[in-house]
Amino acid sequence: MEDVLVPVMVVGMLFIGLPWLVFHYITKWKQAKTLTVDDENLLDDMHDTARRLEERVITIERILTAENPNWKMNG
Amino acid sequence: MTARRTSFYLDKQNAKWLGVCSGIADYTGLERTWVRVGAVLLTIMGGFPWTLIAYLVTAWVANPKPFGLYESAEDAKFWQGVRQSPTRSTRDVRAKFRDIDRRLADVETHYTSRNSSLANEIDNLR
Repeated sequence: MEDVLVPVMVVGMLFIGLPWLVFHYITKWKQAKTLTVDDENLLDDMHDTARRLEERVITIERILTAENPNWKMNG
Repeated sequence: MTARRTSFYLDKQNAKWLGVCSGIADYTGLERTWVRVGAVLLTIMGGFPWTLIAYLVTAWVANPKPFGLYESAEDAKFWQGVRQSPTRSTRDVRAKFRDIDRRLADVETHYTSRNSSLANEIDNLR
């Protein structure tokens, strides 16, 4: 009985358990490294917003400079 | 907005043969020519069947790049940076926001210091 059971257990552990363990951690590690779709869209949105805000600030600065070229000095 | 911007695509627009090398160049931000030279050198130096097999498998598995994935060249460059290091890109975006904040604060101080009536009004609004 035992000489049947032990090889079956060992083969099961080696050929099923071990790869399972390895791939489980590989997928976990890969998930931790990549961005999710939500993250990607959020980052895209923030990048876009930052660019638009910067354009607005540049416009405001240009208007101020036209009014008063050294507005940064007396501020 | 359904297409992922962090996955690998074949670059059919700039393809010499199947667009794998040009896709790698687009993904990593390396120069397209150098990727091709590297691939050819690898093949000559003894990777002969394997590099070709890898090339064909990649061409078969990967999808062609969707048209109009990026709105501008600047956008494409930003996402290249994200693929290399998302953390650095987020830091860059945060730095940009802080810079905008600082410049707006300058504008605000200019207006508040220049005329006290406006400063009083702003104080009343707070």
